[in-house]
Amino acid sequence: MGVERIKAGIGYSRRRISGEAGCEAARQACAQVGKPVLTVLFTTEECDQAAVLLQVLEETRCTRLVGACGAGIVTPEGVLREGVGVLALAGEVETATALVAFAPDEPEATGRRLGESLLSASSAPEGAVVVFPDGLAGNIAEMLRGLYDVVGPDFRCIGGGTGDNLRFTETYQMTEAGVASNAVAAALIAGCSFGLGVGHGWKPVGPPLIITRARDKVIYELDERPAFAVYAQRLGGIDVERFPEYGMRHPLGIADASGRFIIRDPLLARPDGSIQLVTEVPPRAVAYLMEYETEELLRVTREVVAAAKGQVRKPRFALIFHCVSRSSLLGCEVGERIIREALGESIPFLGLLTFGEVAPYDDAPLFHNKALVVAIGGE
Amino acid sequence: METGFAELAALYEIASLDFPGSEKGLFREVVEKASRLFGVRRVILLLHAGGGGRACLTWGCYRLGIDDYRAYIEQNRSLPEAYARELGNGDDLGLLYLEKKGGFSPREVRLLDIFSKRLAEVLQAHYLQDRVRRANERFKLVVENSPMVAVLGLDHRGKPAQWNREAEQLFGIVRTNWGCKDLLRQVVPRERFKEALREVLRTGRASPPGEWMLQNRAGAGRWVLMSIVPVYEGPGEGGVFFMAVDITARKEAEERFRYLSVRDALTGLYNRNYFEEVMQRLDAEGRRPVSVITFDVDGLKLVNDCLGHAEGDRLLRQVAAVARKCFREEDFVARIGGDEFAVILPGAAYTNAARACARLVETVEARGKHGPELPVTVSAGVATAQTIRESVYEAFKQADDGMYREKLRNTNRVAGRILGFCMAALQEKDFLATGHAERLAVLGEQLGRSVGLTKEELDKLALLARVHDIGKVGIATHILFKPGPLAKEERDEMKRHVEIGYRIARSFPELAPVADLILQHHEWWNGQGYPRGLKGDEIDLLARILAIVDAYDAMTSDRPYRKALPKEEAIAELQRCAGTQFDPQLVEVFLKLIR
Repeated sequence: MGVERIKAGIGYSRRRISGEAGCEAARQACAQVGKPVLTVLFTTEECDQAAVLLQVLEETRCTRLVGACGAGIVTPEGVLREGVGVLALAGEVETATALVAFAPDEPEATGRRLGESLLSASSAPEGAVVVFPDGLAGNIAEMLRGLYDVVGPDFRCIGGGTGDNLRFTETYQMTEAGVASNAVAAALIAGCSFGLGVGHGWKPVGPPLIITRARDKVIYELDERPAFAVYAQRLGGIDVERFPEYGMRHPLGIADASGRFIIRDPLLARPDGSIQLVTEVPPRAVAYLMEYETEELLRVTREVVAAAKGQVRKPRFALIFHCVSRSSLLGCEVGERIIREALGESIPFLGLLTFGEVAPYDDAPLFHNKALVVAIGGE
Repeated sequence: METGFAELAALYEIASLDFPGSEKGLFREVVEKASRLFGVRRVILLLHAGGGGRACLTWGCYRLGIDDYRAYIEQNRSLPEAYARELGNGDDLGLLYLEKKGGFSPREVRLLDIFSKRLAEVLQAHYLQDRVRRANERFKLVVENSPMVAVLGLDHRGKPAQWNREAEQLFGIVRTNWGCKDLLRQVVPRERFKEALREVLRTGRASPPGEWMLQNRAGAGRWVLMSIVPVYEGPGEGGVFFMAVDITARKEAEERFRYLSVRDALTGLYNRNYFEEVMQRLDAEGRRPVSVITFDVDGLKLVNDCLGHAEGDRLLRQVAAVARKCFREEDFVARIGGDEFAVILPGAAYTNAARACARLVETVEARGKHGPELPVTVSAGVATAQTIRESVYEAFKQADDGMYREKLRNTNRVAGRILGFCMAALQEKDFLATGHAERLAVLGEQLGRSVGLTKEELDKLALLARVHDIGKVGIATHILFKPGPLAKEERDEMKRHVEIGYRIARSFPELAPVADLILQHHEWWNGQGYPRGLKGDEIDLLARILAIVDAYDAMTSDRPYRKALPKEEAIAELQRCAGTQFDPQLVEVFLKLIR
């Protein structure tokens, strides 16, 4: 057994006092690896984010940190609905971090600025970028294309949208520079191999729907008719009041040329008959109503973890980004249990219940809904 | 999902690719579709055409640090991971280059070929639209700002659809409720314009440019040269364009030219050319009877010589104005020579013409009697061409002969009247009423006798005393009676009175003997007088005598601008000026006389 070039330690805490929680989680993580070169910090929305950040930075004495607030923290012991999780990464790893404001009118430029900021602090030729955009911000897909334009295919982008437990008010992104909202936080990691798995498990049902009129996160027309009316009709007729319930179970899927789907979550039915989604939809695309079966979701969960594991010779840690609504549909942390089982005992992991997930199917990162992203780092 | 359905979905997205407003926006869509549908890792789009010229748009290439993308493409296009296609069949729109890890399947290449074609179509349509838009904008800019051509387009409902600034001003377009009826209301003749418009709409052909008058509510008019052009845009659609140039200035110039070609510039009456034209026309038409009156202004040469041509012209205009009022509208009143006028009275018998002629002569004379200006009379003759065998021209000759005989009879009377006018004017202008002439005559006779003048010379001196300043009738009263010192121009004007007086005296036999003396009466002994700078004995004795007595009387009489000087002061002044202004010997004799 050789010396581990890369080491990762996990820590998490349910302490009610945010600072103490941060301190405890950080101390746990550092106890396993010593002083990290990068700290990944996950919080839940009721935390005092600044206090957590302060304590974690003090405890880790780490100069680089990237963090996100989510609906829950995926830990080896289950999902923390309230708490702090820390992954401390140490070893022969080069890192850089960046925190930029999300300019809603210039998402592509935001992504470029983020990429340029990361590359200016690192001369690594390849690696990974862990990115946490504000899940409530603007066109995240276009922001990711801007980021990719700069970093290119030599850096695999993974991550998730920050969330606030489905209240849709404010979410948080962090680096060692501080806590922000309506921003994007990212960390560049080089010198570490990454295996990546992404999947959702949803299947199309019924004939296709043409998104005849859409703008950003709103679909106005499907098949040239008011979007909600068409959606409701497909589901056999539903009331507006029950839309959130149906929307969660029946998202839309947009296919690529090879038949893979990217999911888009309906969020609410608007008074003008349009449908607002969690994430922007491409206009003039072909969509399908999607449905799920629990077994399929679980199968895909195993498949995603296996795919990630299969790409890394010596896995040292895992980052999990699980869509909060997918997790909720699976219920009782079933999905997270499957993830744990699939990862096994030897791979320390930490995850976040996210508002949208970042991962590529091929090279360029896409922004997914209802997905599970597993990134396994190692040698 | 079955690949067939996936392919259909991709095809739909490809087919709905459209130009979003900018080349960068289009590239963003290309990147979105290429990365999402096909999983590409790099996109390079080279554009060769378009308003922005050449452009190179890239995605995923930042870290490659490429300077020459075309060279990069040429280097890599045959690699399995690459897809490259020229855009536009022979149009050289540009080139699309894509890269994907692991390369593209044949199915994907097929779909990408369709994608490239669609992209080329979108670009072509955009460039064409852009060219059309630029051409439209250029045209619109030219039309909008055209300083001379008014362009107004009405739609099929008669509402204004397009117009430029020039049209706004010319047609008085207001932005609300202005329409075809407002235009039709302005154009004169209205019915002919409506007919022209109907013809354009019926035939679908533009009207040739026509001259129309635009009349506003106040009745003021502007002339325009206007074309009407129909526009057809489909059944029940379309309209007309009105293209108009304001030619008011040209029409006015034409009118003026026409007017001047038949009118006399000084009096506004018809000129000789037109008069002869009318005579010829009436002869050709054979219209009878036609009467002709000729008349001319008596003594005009005298007036021009004595008082100047400005006064002569004024007299002519005065006579012309009277003549216009004495005849009918259908009569032709013309000025046919310097002081000669003629009237053609078509259809007038001899008796009526003679009555009109008498009315003319009386009216001119009556006006002259009661007005402040120089009294004027005319001599006239009348003749009538009764039958077709008598030409109008012969009648004109007869009338002219008759006028000439009348003129001979009037000559002396006229000269006397003019001289009388001048003397009356002199009374007013040279203070003769104050006894100045009489005193001069007395003083002059005394001095003349003292120096041994003959009777004839004394008579001449007496006449000179009375009329030496007759030339002042030609000097403006505001200069003559100016209370203060005269400006240089005014002094120069005043000096003209000696030459005017000379010309007046030369024109009348009774004054001719003193004409030269009038001219010399302001010469100085030392040669510094005017108008010719004569000195010493070059100045006639009588003129030298007059100079002294005139100066003495002027100094010792009241004037509006000063009181009379005491005798001693006048004497001292004469002494002071003896040898310069005055003959010193004559001064000495004069002073002995008056002391």
